[in-house]
Amino acid sequence: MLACLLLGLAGMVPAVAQETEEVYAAWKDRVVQIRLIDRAAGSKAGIGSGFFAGRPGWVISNYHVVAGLVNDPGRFEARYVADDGQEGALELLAVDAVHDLALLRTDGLRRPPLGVAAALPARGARLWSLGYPFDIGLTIVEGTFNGHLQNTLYDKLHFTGSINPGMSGGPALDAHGQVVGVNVSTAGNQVSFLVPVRHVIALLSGEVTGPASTEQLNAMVSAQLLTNQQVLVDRTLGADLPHARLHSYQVPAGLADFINCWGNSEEDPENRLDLVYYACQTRDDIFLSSSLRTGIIEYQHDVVSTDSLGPLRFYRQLERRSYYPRLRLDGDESTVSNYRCQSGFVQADGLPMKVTYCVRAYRKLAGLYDAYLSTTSLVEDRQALQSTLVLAGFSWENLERFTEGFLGAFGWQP
Amino acid sequence: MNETATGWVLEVLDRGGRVLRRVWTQPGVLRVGRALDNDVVLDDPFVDAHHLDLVVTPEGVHVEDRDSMNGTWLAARRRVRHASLSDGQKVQVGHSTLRLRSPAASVPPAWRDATSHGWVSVFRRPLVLFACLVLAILALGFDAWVEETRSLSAGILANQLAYPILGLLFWAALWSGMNRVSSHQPNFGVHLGIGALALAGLFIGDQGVRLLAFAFDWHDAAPWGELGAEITVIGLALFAHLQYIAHGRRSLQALGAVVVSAVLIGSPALGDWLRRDDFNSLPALNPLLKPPAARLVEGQSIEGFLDQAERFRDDLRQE
Repeated sequence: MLACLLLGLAGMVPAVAQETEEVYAAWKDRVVQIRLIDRAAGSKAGIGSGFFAGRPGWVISNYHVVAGLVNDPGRFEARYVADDGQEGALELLAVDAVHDLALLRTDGLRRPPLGVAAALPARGARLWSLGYPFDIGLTIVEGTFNGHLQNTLYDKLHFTGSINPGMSGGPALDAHGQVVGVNVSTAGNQVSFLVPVRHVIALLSGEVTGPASTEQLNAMVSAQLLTNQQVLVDRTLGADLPHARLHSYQVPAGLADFINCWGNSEEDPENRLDLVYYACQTRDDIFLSSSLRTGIIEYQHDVVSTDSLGPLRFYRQLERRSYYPRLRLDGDESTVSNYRCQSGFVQADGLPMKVTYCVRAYRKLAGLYDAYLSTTSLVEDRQALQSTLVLAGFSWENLERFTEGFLGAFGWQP
Repeated sequence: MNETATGWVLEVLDRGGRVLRRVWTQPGVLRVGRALDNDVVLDDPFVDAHHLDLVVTPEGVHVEDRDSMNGTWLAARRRVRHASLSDGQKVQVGHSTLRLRSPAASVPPAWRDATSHGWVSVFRRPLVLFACLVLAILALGFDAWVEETRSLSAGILANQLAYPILGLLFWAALWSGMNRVSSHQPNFGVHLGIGALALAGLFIGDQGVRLLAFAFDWHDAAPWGELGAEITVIGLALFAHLQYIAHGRRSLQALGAVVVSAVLIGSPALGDWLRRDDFNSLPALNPLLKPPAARLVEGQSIEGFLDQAERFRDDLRQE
């Protein structure tokens, strides 16, 4: 119903604006600055942008702009400041943590919502991004649309234009003043990213009953992450995990197009080791808090060999390499539990390994876990394969399924 | 003088009962008093110039008091003018004590040096001390060789060996100090030997436990095994040191050694155990890796291994 309303709005295409000053003049009153206020300090602790969309008083922004309201509800409150200086409080109605969107409602200020583009513009089309960078006032940035990002896990649009801190949550408009995407992040040098507007439409079309409690918001985020990880696993795990050959080892590799891999090799004369690295990671992650990102798959294979060390000394070096995790997930005491670990010999396809498997749980998001897997092959005296896998934000069953598939893809062919 | 010695020995004791000097007697009369013309001169103001005579015959010794002012006392209780003395009997004159000893008499157990008996005496042998030191140096050297991947230079060896050896010397010195206080003999070599053997024992125990734990895949037991080995080695060493320095009950010393060792070695482990729930954003990895040839058991299947992790699930749910 609401989607129809939005599409209806999209149908009433306004006049085409050609100049940046026209775009700015026409839509500046629809964009607000969002301030996250630390109640104890009575001052802003974070800033972002937002725009009117959907129903009267509704404002869209990024989840990461207002995540403090979910993670630390007593500590923060959200306020808006409009272009003409009008201020007021904001309530959080719903979030889409996977696509980094939040839906808020102003306490009184009503402005007409921005329309949403029915279709994406042609590659190379001009887009205008609005927002409040660095708290220096409303700013318009002209840039070009460069289509969907290639090989990413989470759907994003590529906007060539400078999106800067503080503009997060602001709209990127086409020449008709319709929202194409929501400013979300930048890689620097005018390489910026937008959340496609279809996720905004999905959020606006969802069931919204009123301000959500912290429990409701956490449940919402849990459910979204659980759905997302299922998609992730389904896209990654076929019948067998794809594998590649790395020296005499068969290793899980090339798991999905959204997992990006790099290789490297080096000598370590200090430890008398020769190293070959093959490291892969998802290009993207999901922001949950400043200390926790999730929705991640990362793995690394190290082929370690030596010319001059005997087996005893070589495996002691491997032991020392294993003390500290080669891949890390962040997280603090308020968000995740401690890891629980177990170690033992595992027999993969012709490749005996010493395996350590660790898991931890998310404290507030029920049913979500992280895993850390570390393996060392035990076949040769002067060469070994040490692999690491981290999975962040998966259900218990999928952690097990993925890890089982990952371990099953190892092999040895001398 | 000893050609005609009767074998009786007169000991002059100080007030603490320690022997100040010994006089080998001959048959005849031995004059005792403060004056310098006596055979045995006692520097004691409560003794007369010519206090008493001892009449020595091969059959025995008689004491004759020479009408002294303060008298001659047997065992500090009975004032006597004439008396026969037997082996070990004490004569009190003024503040001085004389004791008659027959060399033929056995030394009473209570007077024996009570500190160097039983199995720990082996550390008195130079060869044993040498062997212990060699073992300790070998253990430390082997450890340095395994740990250090740079070519083993004199500098690295000195670095790897210097601290443990200094520690060992300090340890031995500490025990010798206590030994000296308790029995006037430092026995430094003995304590050095015990310490060196303990050092080698610590190394062999730790390595042995880790090798076994790897071979049979007893991964979780390894830290406890290492702790047990360390407590045992240090406990045995403490017991050996104690046996040497103090005359005491064996079982009591053994108990004390075990308790002290457990507290000494166990308290850091206990601290870690108490802090096991402290938050750490990294997994606490305890990799246990040895060459493939050291593995003596087959690995589990992947499913079997992952099924074991199920036990963490409820644990984590409660957090």
